Amino acid sequence: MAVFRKTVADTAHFCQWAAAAPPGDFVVYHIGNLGKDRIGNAALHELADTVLLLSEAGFVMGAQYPIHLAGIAGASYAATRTGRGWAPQSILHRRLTAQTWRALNAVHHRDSWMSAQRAIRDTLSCPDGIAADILCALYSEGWVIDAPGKGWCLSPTGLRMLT
Amino acid sequence: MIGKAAEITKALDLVPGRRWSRAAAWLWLVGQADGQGRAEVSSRKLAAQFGWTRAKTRRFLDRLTDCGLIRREIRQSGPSQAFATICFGKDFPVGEEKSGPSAEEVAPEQRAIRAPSAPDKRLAFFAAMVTGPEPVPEGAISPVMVRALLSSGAVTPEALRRKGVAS
Repeated sequence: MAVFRKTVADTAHFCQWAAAAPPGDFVVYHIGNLGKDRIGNAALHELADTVLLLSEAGFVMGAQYPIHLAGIAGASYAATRTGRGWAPQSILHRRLTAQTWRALNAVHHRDSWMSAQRAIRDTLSCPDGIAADILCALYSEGWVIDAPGKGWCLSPTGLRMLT
Repeated sequence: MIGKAAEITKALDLVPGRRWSRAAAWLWLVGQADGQGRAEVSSRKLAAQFGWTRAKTRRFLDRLTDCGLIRREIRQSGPSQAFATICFGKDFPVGEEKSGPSAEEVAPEQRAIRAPSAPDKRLAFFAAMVTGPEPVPEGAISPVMVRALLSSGAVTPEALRRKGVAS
């Protein structure tokens, strides 16, 4: 029986596939040079970041297969459902982006001596100003609150978002 | 810096001609440097000052050069003095040269904005910037902050548009 490849166009489509895919099922999410293509493409960047997050959690396995055809020098990027691992429901249901989830996770699991802003900065490898802005965004959504004596920590809503 | 060498000698109870430690020798050498960071490093004179052999003095100077603490000037042949430039910090001093405009010369709109880092105060700061009478410098508010301002309800999309901030 012939196996036809499945493709996804964006993060929403990928999450929809990941939530329902049986173990061993795979999907191609990009063809080209992902490192280069994602620079100017916010949607592709978000999709690749989501695949990376789910592959870190063991929910999918990311792979790239080189393509050497006439005029094409790139790779096809595929994600395979592993049948193990876990995926945050907030990601699968698109309530959070992978970047926001990473920021929340960094704030929650940081060392006691580390500030929330620094945890975000180090996790996302972004400048201090952007890390402060991301913390502001988390605060404005009500996911981060000021706990007296503990600095900024996750609110009950933020904790729910993390799972 | 000139005159510091004598103070160092006195403060550390160093006797010229007696055997000095390398650390004391380095401190004394730094104290010898003038405003430009230059100091005489004649191995004969230094050996006499530190109570070392000339070979040890040469090794000491080579070590300082290798570690990047001094930069020795290439001496022309003849009986001229040998000098070295001392590195005081991250880099060698380059005289009175100044680069870039001073803080007073920088236009107000080019100065970095120092916003508070606490989220509640930061939101209030940027909200005041958007709702205030002053124009918002280009790129002062990041897209992430714009989303935060809108989701918190601190500013309206119209206010952002009026200030030329893309929402």
